[in-house]
Order: sequence, then structure tokens, then C-alpha cells
Amino acid sequence: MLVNIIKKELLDNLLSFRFLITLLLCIVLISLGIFVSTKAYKNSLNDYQQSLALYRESIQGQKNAIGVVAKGLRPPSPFSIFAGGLDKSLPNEIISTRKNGLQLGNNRTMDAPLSILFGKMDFLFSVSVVMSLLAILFTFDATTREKEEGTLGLALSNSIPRYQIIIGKYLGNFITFLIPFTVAMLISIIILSLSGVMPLFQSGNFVRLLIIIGIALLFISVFFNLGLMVSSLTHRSLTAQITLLFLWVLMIFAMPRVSSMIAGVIYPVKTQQTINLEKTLIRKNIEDEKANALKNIFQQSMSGDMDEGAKSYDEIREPIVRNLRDKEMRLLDGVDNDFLSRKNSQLKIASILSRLSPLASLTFATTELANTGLLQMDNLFSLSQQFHNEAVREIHSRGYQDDIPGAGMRMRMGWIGADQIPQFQFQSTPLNRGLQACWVDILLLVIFNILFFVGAYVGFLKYDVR
Amino acid sequence: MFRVLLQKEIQDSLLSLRFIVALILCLILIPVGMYVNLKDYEKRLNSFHQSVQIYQQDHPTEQSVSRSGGKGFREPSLFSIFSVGLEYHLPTTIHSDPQDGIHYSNDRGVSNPQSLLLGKIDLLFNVSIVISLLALLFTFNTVAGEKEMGTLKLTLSNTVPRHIILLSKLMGHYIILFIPFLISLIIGTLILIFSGKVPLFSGEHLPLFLFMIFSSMLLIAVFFNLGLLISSLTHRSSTAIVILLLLWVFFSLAYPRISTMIAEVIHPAKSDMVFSLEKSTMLKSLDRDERAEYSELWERVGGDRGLPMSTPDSTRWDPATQTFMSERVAVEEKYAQLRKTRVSQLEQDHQNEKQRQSNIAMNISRLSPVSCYMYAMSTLAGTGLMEEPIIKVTARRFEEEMQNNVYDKVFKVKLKNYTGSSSNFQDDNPPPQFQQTYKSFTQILEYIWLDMVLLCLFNIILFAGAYVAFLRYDVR
Repeated sequence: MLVNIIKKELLDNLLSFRFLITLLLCIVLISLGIFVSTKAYKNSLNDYQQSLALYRESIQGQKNAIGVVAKGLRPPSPFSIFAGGLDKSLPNEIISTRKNGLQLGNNRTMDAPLSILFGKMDFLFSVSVVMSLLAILFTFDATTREKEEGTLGLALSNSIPRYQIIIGKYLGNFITFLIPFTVAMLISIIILSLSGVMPLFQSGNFVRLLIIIGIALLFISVFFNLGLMVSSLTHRSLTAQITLLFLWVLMIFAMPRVSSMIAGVIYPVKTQQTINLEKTLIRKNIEDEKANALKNIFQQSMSGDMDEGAKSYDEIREPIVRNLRDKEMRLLDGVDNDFLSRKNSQLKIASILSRLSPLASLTFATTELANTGLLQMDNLFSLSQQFHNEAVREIHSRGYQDDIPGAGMRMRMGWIGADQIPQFQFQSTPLNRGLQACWVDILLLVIFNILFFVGAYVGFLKYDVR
Repeated sequence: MFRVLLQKEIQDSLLSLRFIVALILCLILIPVGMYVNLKDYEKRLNSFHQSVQIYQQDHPTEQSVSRSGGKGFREPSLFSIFSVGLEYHLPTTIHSDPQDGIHYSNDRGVSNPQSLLLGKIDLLFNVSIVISLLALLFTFNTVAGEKEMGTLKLTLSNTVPRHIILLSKLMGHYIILFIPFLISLIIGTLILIFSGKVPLFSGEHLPLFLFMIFSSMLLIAVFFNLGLLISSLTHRSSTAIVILLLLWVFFSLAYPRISTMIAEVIHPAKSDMVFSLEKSTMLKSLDRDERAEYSELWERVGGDRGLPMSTPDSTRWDPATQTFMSERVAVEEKYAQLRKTRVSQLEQDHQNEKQRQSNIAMNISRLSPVSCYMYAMSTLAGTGLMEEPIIKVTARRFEEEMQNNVYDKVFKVKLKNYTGSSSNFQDDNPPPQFQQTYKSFTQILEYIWLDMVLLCLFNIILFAGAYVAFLRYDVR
């Protein structure tokens, strides 16, 4: 009997206006989105490769350790085609200099101002906004329309258990939706493999893609169940429609955005600019301290023989400079760690608040798997720190250029080969770590599904068909 | 008769579920959004003042900026509270380097990654997404629903002209939605005023604020008219709502995004990163050539041993240095000219390319009233597409001032592998300050007139469509 109900729902939908619109929207929005995102990714990748080549060329003849600007560049994430996430916002330039330490910069901020104003048209957007609305449009009158038309009474007058009807409705509607979705995904995969930006059928990538699609389907299913639930709890299509739209706006637009803003107010954190200013101040103070200390040593050592004095200056300055550098690193790390821990606390509050909406779970899970999420951010920061430490060890601690107040500059060359400048190797998080980070969100999506389906079930069981 | 109908529409909606939903949504989203944006603005303003203060303390004289170059800071836009726009992407620091020219940097970092992932709430978002949806919700069954209920027949059987009925519906629903919008707007504005940090009623800010409210009302009216139109074209309210929702998704969300991406594909422009790399490569090669010519010149005047003396005091120069100094002026001027023309050519070309792509995208996207609204609001708020060119012009002016007052006073002697410099600063003058350009209201109006006209046009076209459709509506 269940199969018959599913067939009936399927046929009912297939010949309807809604299905046609869904087909059109799915194909146009998803495929077009993937096509354009692929082009944008290709351009980003080209930019990255060009910059890298130019940088490598520029450090070819570098022999002097003083004044070396060691750079690292972050390549764009291939799966940003599906979920833009933080890919354009994260720093893509890691600069390690002797004078200013580690600086992370983003030189793409003004690249596409209109994209920033309106937002991206990636797979994540299509699924989270458009597909969820379509899910609601499919199911808002699932029960109420049949009641209003009288066919529900007819169906129930047969010896058919109520649970089979509700399960049949869910499956029938969901399968109807799956058809255009699958067509759209197939077209997108064809576009993606034709473009050649990603070896799609390499095991890691394909599994990742499947999981992302699976999470998207889980999310859409939440809204199917929500539609069924509200429809089974109301008696007029109009009421169901208004309630569902209200809930949709709340879940998709209001709750996620309000939560992160509220977390910012409950638990305020200093801005990055303020932290940068504090760090610059610390560096300046250490510079002044160093200049004074060096001035004293210089005067002492130059009081006697010139050659002897030069050698003793070299020897005496080394431990003092090292101590000051360690002190600077301690102070800077203190500021950074303090800021980081406060940011993480705020992030925790915000993410808990936002997870009241399934959209947050979808966004977090998809961006983690696409390597454009918070894990990518943490990964970037720790790799940058490693890069800077290596640069300090190999380059910035060789030779010196001391600006001694009142006596000019005292320099000692540090000769290095170009291959001693560390190379920044950016590795994306492997799949299993990504899954570890997002299993909570996947679980939440499953829970939402179960919750809303149980609501629909119970509502329908008690439904007054007269 | 119009008054009676108007009253009926208002009373009908006032007691409905929709009104309560609209009230709740507006009251939550608008004041909360304004409050949070206000706190964020205060933080950014503090950072700005701190940066300026520290910079001025560290660089009190012209000499102090001669080696490291001059810096300017961009003040955060007051009305970014209403429309975030490009605010977080515009540069915070403008650095004029004596060697490399102008650098723009944005050191806001990724302070709030969750906001970046999930989005922000500002007035622009509230109106273009939430209130427009509410407008559709209020009007979708205003004609089709009444037909289904049978009351439309009854009304029309009286001697009421059809246009009066239509107008009363439009006005009635508009007033009903306007109440929650107005209340929440007033609450939000009060929050802003009581904070003391937002001079909303000052001469330069009030007209902008009023214009922002006006364009918001225009956009809401567009969606009312759209709802009326579709409702008058369909005979079942469920069809009407489905069509309206899909149109809303398309025009409000999908189309603006698609149009910008299409423009990027039709007319790709070099990215800023590649452009700045090309510029610095060109400058480096010019620098190399210049130094080679200087070295050649030095060898010719017989200075094959030692280096020219790098002191501005010409009485201490030896004869070789004297000849060198007089002849190098021509070389210096030639390369200064070359540098200036090539850099401005490169920048002009890049700017034109970006501008062309931007114009194509904007024109394609103007098919959706939400895009027009977005352009108007972000420009009025000082966070739109007008900002980047203005910052660039201001930066170039700043660089010229630095050139005239500071860099030209540094006496440099450059050879292939040697740069000697000494400076010639007599007085302790303060260095040039970065002056942010003030945009007049007429300038802003010039920029947004097209979008405002389009919004009015959309209203007229959609209302005319609704009028014609209702006139021919079959009430049976």
C-alpha cells in the first residue's frame, strides 16, 4: 500500500506547476552557480600560481639575510566551488620579516565589489535558501489541501494505517524533488570534470563530494518534514503557508545572523586592528630597549681597539639580542593567545546559539568539508606560525643591522642561499579530520529530521479529517 | 467610498496572523540589527582614532616620514550601521611608500568568522529580504483570495469603480505593513540617538537618512505592486503565493548574484593582486635601468674609483662628483617622467577594465529592483561602489603632497649597487595629513539618480499592470 501512496504522490506532483518550476530553478541555479564558481576558482588559482612564480623569481638572487621578506601564499580551496565560505576572507599572503614579524594579509578584498554586495551564488546558497523554500512549497499543503478538497477523507476511509499515509507523503514528495536535483547535480559534475580544475574521480575528492551532497539532502529533508509537520497541525492551506514562511525566514535568515551578532554583544572581543596596534607598540618598546642596550655595548666595546672592539661587540650583543627577541616573542604571543582564546569563547557561544537553526549546521558542515571553514582558518594560522618560526631560525637570526642611536648603523652581513628561505607548504585538512569536525552538525541535522517527522506523524495521527 | 474600503482593508489585516508575524519580525530584527551594528561601529571608530593618534605621536615631523613613507587612515562610515555594504572590504590604511608608491591594506583580519559565514543583519537586509517577503505575504491573496471567498463579487456588485477598489487595497496593505516598520524604525533610531555617537540630525546626515528611508519605502511599494499584479492575474491564492515566492527568490536573491557573476565571465578583469605584482615588477625594472645609467654616467666622468659624495653640501664635492651631479639631473627627470607616465597608464588601464566590468554587471543587474535598491542604499550609506575611486583619488593627492613636501627634500644618489641619501629638512614641520574627501549630497544624488528613477519606474509599471489586470478580472 505504501508503494501505491508514493506512486500517487509522485504522479500528482510530476504533472504540477511546482515541479516544473523546481526543475527549472534547480537546473539553472545549481548548474550556473557551479559553472561560474569554477571560472572564479580558475582565476584565483591562476593568480596564485602567477604570484608564486613572481615571488620565487624575486628571491632568486637574494644573498643577504638582512631585508629578506619571506612570503607564503595560500592557494584557493578547490571545493570552494561548492561552498565559498571563508575562502575569500582568509588571508592569502603570509609575510615574515625581521622588523615586523609575522603579518597575514589579504590582497583580494576589493577584487569583486559587486559579489561582496550581493553575495555568492554557490551550491551552498542554492541549497540553503532556494531548495529549502522549494521544499516548503512542495509540502505546505500536503495535508491541508487534501482535507480542503475532500480526498483525505476518501483515502482514510480505506483500511490504510495513518502512518503509511504520512510516510508515503514524505517519500513521494522527497523523491519528486530528487529528480530535478539529481539532474542538476549530474550537469554540474559534467561541467566540473570538463573544466579540469579538479581530479574529480580521485577517491578523496569523490567521497568528499558525495558527503557534501548527502548533507545537502539531509538539510532539504528537514524542510520537507517541517512542511509536513505544519501542514498536519493546521487545517487551512493559507495558515500553513504563512506559518511555514515565518518559520523559514526565522530559520534561514533571522536566527543564524542574530546569533553571531548577539554573541558579539554578550562577549565582546577587541578588534584585530586594536590587537595589531598593541603588538606594534610592544615591538616599538622592545626596539627602543634594544637600541639603548646596543648603544651601551657599542660605546663600551669601541672605547678600546677597533678590531677587538668589533669582535667583542659581536659576541656581547648576541645573548642580549636573543633575550630581547625571546621577551618580544613572549609578549606578542601573550597578546595573540589572549585574543585567540577570547575569540574562541565568543565563537563557541555564537555557534551554540546559531545551531538552533538547521542552516547553521549545514553551513558549518559543508564549509568544513569544503576546506573553507573554521578548521581551514586554524590550520592557516598554525602553519603560518610554523613558517615564521622557521624563517626566524634560518634567516632573520643571521647577520644583523643595528641602528645605534647617535652612532649610525652597525651591520654584519648574513650570507644565505636562496634555497634557505623557507617555502610555505599549505596542506588542506584531510577528510577524516574534516568529518571529525562536523559530525555534530550532521547529527543535529538528523535530529531535526527525526524531530519534525515525529511532529508530522503525531500531528497526522490526531488529524481531524472532517 | 475609498475611505470605507480603506478602513475595511486595514481592519481586516489588523486582526490577522500576518500582522502579528510582521510585527514580531520587524520588532526583533530592526532594532537588534541597529544596536549590534552601532556597537561594532563604535569599536571601529575607536580603532581609527587610536591609529591616527599613535601615528601622529610617532611621526611629528616631516623627517620622521621621509624613510618609511606617509600613512593615512580611513574613517569608518557612520551609516555603515544601516548598510554594511563594502565597509569591511574597503582599505583601513593607505600607505605612501617613497619607493613603491601607494599601498592599500586592510588589517581587520577575520575577527568574526561566524558573521562572515552566516551573514550580517542591517537595515538593507531587513528591507530587501524580510519586509519585501512580508509585503508579498500581505498582498498575495488580496484579489485571488477575495474571489475564492466570494466577497469580491459582492463588492463589485455595488457602484464602486474598480480602480478605487485596487487603490484601497494597495493603500490599506501598505499602511498596515508600514506600522510595524515605522515602530521598529523609531525604536532603532532612538537607540542610535541615545548612544550619543550617531549625529543623525546634523545637517549633512539628515538628508541622507531621510533618503534611505524614502528608498526603502519605494522598494516595499514595488513588492506590494508585484503582489497585487500577480494576485490579479491568478484565480487561486495558492497559485499566486507560489508564483510570488518564486519571483521573490529570483529577483531578490538569485538574479543580482547571477548578473555579477555573468559579468565577470563576459568581461574578465585582471585581479588586483596580479596588477600590483605587475606594477612592482615594472617599477623594479625601471629602477634597475635608472641605476645602470647612473653607473655608466659615473664611469664616464672619470669616477671609476670610489663613489660620488652623498651630501647636499656642494662645496665639499670633488670635480668628478660635481660633473656627475650636474649631468644626472637630466637622467633623474627622464626616469621620474617615465615612472609617472607608465604607472598612471597601468593604473588607468586597470581602473578602466574594472570599471567596465562593474558597469556591465550593474546594468545587467538593474533588471531587479532589489539591485537598484542595494546600489542606492550603499551609496547613501557611504559603503558602496563610489567609495573605492574616491579613496584612490584621495590617496593620489596625498602622495603628491608627500612628494612635494617630503620626498623631494631627500637627497639621493643611486648607482647600480649603492644608494646614498641624506636629507635636507630645515624646519620641524608636521608631515602632510591624509584628508578624507567629503562627498556632497548633490554628488551622491548624481550617482544614484538612475537607481531611484528605476525604482519609481518599477512601481509605475507594476501598478499599471495590476490596474489593467484587475480591470479585466473575471469575478465569477
